[in-house]
Amino acid sequence: MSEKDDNNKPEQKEVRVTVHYTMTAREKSFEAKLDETVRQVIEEAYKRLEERHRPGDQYFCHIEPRIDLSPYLDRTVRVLMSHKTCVHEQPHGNKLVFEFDIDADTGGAGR
Amino acid sequence: MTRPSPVNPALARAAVASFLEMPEWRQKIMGYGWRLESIDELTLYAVLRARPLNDRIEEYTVRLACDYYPTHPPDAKFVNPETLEYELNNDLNHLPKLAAPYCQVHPAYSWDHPYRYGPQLVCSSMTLGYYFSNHSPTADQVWEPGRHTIGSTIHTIHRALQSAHYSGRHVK
Repeated sequence: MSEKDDNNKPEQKEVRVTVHYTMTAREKSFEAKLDETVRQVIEEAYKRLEERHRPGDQYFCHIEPRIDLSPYLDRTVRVLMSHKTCVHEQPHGNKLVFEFDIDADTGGAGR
Repeated sequence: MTRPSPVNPALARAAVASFLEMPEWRQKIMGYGWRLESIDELTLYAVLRARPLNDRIEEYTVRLACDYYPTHPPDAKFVNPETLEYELNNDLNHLPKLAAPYCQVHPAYSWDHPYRYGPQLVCSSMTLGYYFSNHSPTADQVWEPGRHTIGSTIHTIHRALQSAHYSGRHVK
């Protein structure tokens, strides 16, 4: 696609979110606004998964390298996209995709 | 915390078979590239890849004994891929150096009570050995039958192997 074609693309305002809850292998997908914060998207993800925030939960991009999302929690999804982090265009389409993991904490202190 | 007891073998076998049929975990097993095989109806092994170090990707074999499952997690230990056993004096080089806060490997743990799957401990609340050692998970960390499965155990080890807390293979 040429630069001219890119410029003609309508501005996207939404992103397709897919969240993976890694301890149970459950996943859910839903739409979110690009101007929502990552924290708001995560809160919605918990609701969709019927899970709750647990102490020690961590958030990572689903695709390797699994970038830690904690520095971005109060930034918008649009900022995440501008940093080329986690948000990408679906292959063979122009839909934006934001795919991330929720890793729940487990005990494991050594002795 | 009360020490666990084995599950009725028929129930444990049914729970293992049920896990192996769960579509969501079958999809993840493929997605993560785990190789999962049965040794018998209550024993599985999984081959997992670690994060690349010095341009090398190492594989490790984890043996999962499920005679306390699903009430408690499977025992998990790293084994020699040829024998599928772990002998402390011979097989140390088949263990990864893992020191994640949520999953650590002890080649020879100091057990206070006899533990049939010792001496190695893969220390995580998603493994059986954790409940035979002096550890106290929080309510949110403790194994929950039904919610947690064999896949939760494997994923915890996979996560640690893929993290910065993995620092290579033990040297014999």
